[in-house]
Amino acid sequence: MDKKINSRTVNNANNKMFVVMAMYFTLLALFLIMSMTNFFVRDEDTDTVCRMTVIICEGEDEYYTRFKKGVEKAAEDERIDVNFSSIYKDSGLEQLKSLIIKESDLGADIIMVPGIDCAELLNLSNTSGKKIPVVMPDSVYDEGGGYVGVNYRSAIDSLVERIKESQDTSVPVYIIPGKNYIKKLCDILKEDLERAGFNVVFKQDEADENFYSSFFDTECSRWYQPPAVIALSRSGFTEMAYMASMKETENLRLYGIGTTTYILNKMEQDYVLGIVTWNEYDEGYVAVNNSYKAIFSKDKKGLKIEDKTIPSYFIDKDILKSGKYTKMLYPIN
Amino acid sequence: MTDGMNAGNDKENNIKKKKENSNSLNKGISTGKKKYNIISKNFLYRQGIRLVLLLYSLLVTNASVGATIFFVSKRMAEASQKEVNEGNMNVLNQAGSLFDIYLRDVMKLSNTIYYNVFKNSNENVDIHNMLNLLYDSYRGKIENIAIFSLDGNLMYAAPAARMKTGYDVKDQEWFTNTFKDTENNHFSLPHLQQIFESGDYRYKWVVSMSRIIELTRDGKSEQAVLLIDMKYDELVGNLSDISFGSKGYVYMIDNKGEVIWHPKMGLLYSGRLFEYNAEAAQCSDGVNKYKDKSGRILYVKTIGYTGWRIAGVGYSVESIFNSPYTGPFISVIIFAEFFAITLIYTFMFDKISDPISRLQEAVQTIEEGNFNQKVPVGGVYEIESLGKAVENMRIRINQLIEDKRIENQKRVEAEEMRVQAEFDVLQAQINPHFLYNTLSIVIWLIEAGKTEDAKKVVTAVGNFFRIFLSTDRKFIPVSEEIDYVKNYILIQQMRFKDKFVYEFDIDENVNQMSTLKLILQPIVENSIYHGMEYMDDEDGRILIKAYIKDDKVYFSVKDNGAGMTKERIAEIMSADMTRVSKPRGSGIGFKNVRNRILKQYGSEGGVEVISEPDEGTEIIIYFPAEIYTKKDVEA
Repeated sequence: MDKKINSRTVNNANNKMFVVMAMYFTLLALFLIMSMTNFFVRDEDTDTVCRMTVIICEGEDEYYTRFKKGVEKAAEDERIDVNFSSIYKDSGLEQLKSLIIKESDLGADIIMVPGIDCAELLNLSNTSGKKIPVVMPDSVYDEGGGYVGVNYRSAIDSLVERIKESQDTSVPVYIIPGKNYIKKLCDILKEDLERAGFNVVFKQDEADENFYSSFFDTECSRWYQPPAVIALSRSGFTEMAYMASMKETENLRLYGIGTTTYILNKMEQDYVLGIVTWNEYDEGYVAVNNSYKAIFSKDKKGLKIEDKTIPSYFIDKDILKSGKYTKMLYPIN
Repeated sequence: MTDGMNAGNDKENNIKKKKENSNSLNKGISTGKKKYNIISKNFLYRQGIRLVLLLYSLLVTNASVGATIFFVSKRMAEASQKEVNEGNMNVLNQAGSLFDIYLRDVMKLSNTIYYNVFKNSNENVDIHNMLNLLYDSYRGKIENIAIFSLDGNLMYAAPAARMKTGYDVKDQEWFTNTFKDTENNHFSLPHLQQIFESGDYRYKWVVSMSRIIELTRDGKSEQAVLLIDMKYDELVGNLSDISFGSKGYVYMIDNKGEVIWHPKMGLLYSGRLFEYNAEAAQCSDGVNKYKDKSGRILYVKTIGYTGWRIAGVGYSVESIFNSPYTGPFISVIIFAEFFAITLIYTFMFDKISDPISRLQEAVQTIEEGNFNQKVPVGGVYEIESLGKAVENMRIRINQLIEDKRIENQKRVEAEEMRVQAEFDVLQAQINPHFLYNTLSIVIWLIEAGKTEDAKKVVTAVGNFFRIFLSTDRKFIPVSEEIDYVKNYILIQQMRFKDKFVYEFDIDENVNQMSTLKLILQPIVENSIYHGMEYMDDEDGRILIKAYIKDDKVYFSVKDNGAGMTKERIAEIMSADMTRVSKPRGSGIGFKNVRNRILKQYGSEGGVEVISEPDEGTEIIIYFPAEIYTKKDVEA
C-alpha cells in the first residue's frame, strides 16, 4: 500500500515537472519570437510636457527677437510646446485678460506676457475656475509676476550717474513711459533722479500720433542745455531714436530701456547716448525654465537657473565698441 | 518515570538551546559580520532542506547568470562603443570635409580674385563688375568681398557698400593678421561685421578670410588687403544637424579652445552651461575619454588651414541595458527567466525533499517510541536506500523488543513459580509438626476430661487450616488475617498451658483492608517461641495491634520476652538468607515475611524491628492501605 502511494507521489511530481519544463520551453520560444520583433523596444520620450503661450503686442515682435530665441531654446530643451500669440497694440488690460483666459481655456499651461508688470494678471482664473499661471518676465524682481525678474538697480544707478555728469539739475529730465511700461521701474528711476536733484517730467504718448515730433519741437529746444530724455518702452524708445536721427537735433540726450538692432545702430550714430539692457536671450530661457520648474516642480539638471534675477547693464557707445557685450546684444543664431 | 523525567529534561534543553540561539541572534545583530553568519546559518537550518537547496541553487544560478550577463554585456558594450566611436568619427570627418570644402571654395575665390581680377588683368577690366559677378556666384556662402588699401581705405566692395564712420579697419584683427604672413590666407574668428553701413539694420556674424594682394592702379603696382566675409551661419550650419545619440552634440573651437560655435551658444555666454572646451583644445584628434565621471567621450577633428577643431561629445555605452533597443527586452527576459528557474527549482527540490521529509517524519515518530510506524521508501536512489535501511532497522528493533518482552515475561513467571515453590516448601514444613503437636494437645485435653477445651482447640485448628490451606488467594482481608492469628494463638496457648497472655488491639477500620496472606502469624509465632521461651507461667505478654496511619496499614506484635541485640537485629534484617539461623516453630520466619512484603510493595511497604535485650521485641509491619476488593480475590 505504502509503495503504491509512494510511486503515485513520484508520478505526480514527474507530471508537474513535465508541465513546468513544457512551460519553460514555451516561454523560451516566446522570447525567441519576441526578440525578432520590436515589442520591447523603448521609444524615446519625445512628447511635450506642457504648453506655453507667449503674448506679445502686435508690431512689437522685433523688440523681442532675442527674448523669443531664448524662449524657443528653452522650449526645445524642456520639450515645451510654445505658441506665440499677439494682441492688438491699442488693446487695454481687459482685452489682455480675456486673451489670457482664452489661451488657458484652449489648454495653455503657462501664459507669459513680456513687457507687462500688472499684479492683476496674477489672480486670473480660466472658465473652469483653475488659477492661471501668468509669468511677466520684465517685471521688477519681487514685485509679482514671479519666476524671473530683471534687476534694474545697478544699470539705473549708472544711467542716473551719467545724466548727472552731463546735465545741470536745473534742466528737467523727461521720462516718456510709453504705452506698456514697467511702473516699478518708472518709480525707481524717478526716485533716483529726484534724489540726484533733477526735476522729473513725465510725458505720456498716448493717442497722439505727432507726440514725438511735437515733443522735439516744444520741449527739447526750450532749455539752455539739452535735456535728458529717457524712453521706458521699446516702441517709444525706437520712435524717439528715429525722430532724433530725422531731425538731426542736438537738443536732447536720449536714453532708453531695452535694445533693438535699430537702437544700437542709432547709438553708433550718436543719436542714442545710453541704453539700459540685459541678456534678453537668457531672460527668455530662464523665464521658461523657471516657470516650468515652479509650476511642475521639476528641475533641469546641469543648468544654473536657480537665480531668478537677470542682471541689467548700462551701455554707451564706447562700451558697445569694446565688444564686451557683442554676443549679448547681437546673439548668434 | 525515569523516561518521563528524561523527556522533560530534553524539552528544557531544547528551550535553553533556542534561547541561546535567540541570544546569539541578537548578539549577532549588534556585534557584526561574524554574528550575521550565525544568523544566516541558524535561519537556513530552521528552513528545511527544500528552502536551503532552493536558496543556494538560486544564489549560484543567478550569480553565474548575472556574472555571464555582466561580462557579455560589458563586452557587447565595448563592441558597441567601438562601432559608435567609428561611426561618430566618420560623421565628424565628413563634417570636417564639408568645412574644408567650404574653406577651399572661398580660397579658390580668393585666388580667382587675386590672379584673374587683379594680378593678370589690365586696367581696362571692370573690376567692380567682375567682383560683383564673383560675389553673385558665391553669395550663398559669402557676405561680401572688399579690397582695402594698406592705409585702410575701402577701394572695392561687392556688393557695393559704404564704410561706417568712426570705424578704422586697421584696428580689425583680420586686417592686421594679413601682414604677419603675406603669402597666406588668414581666417579670423567669428565676429560681427560692423564696418559697412546696412540699410536694414541687420547684423551679420561672419568669418573673415583676408590676404595681401597686388594690384595695378594708375600704372602703379601696389599692395592691398582682400577681405572675403564668409557667412557664419552657412559655414557652421552643417554642424547643427549632427548629433551623437540622443544626448551627444558637436561644437567648434579654435586652437586655443575659444568656442566658435556651440548649439547652446546663448547658454554658454550667460554662464548657465559649462563646456570642456579648454580640455578639448588639449586633446589629440580621434577619440578621447574625459577624465571626469560623466562618461563623456570627446571626438576631435582638426580642420586644415584654420587650425580650428570640431569637437563631438558623445556618451559611452555603459551597458546593453541602457540601450532602448536591447535594454527592456533583456530585462524582461531576465525577470521571466528568474521566475521560471525558481519555479523549476521548486518542483525539482520538491521531488528530492519530499521523500526526505517523509523519512524524517517517520524517523521522528520512531524516535518517540512508536516502532509500528512504517518508514516510507521512495525518491531518488540514495534516499530510497536510506529509507529501506531505516525500515529494516525498525523491523529489527521491533523484533528485539518483542524478544526482550517475552524473555522478561518468562523471567517473571519463573520467579513467581520459584517463590510459590518456596512458599509451598515452607508450608509443607510446618504442616506435620504443627499438626502433631496440636493433636497431642487435643489428646491430652480429652484424656484430662477437658472436652470443651478440646473442642475449642479442634475448632481453632479447623479455622486455622481453612485459611492456611486457601492457596488460591494471595490477598485476604485484614479481619481474616486477624482471625487466623487468633486461632493460632488460641492453639498455642493450650499447648503452652497458659504460659503467656495475649491482647488484641484492632482498629475497626483496618478490618476491611487488604493484606498479604500469612504475614502476621509468623511474627506472632516468633514472639511465642523466642519471646516466651524463658518466661515463667503467665509472665509472658503479647500485644497485637492493627491500625491505619498515613494511608498505611500497620501490624504491631510486641512481647516482653528476651529481646535482641543490635547485631541480631542486623542479622535478621540482612538480605542474605544464609546468615539467618534456621527458625524453630512453624518454620515460617521473619525473613520470609519481610521478603514477601518488599517484593509486593517495594519501598511503600516494610518491616521494622524495635528490640533491646531483656526488654522485649516489637515487630512492625506496614504496607499501603487498600480496601479488599474482588480484584484481590482474583489475585
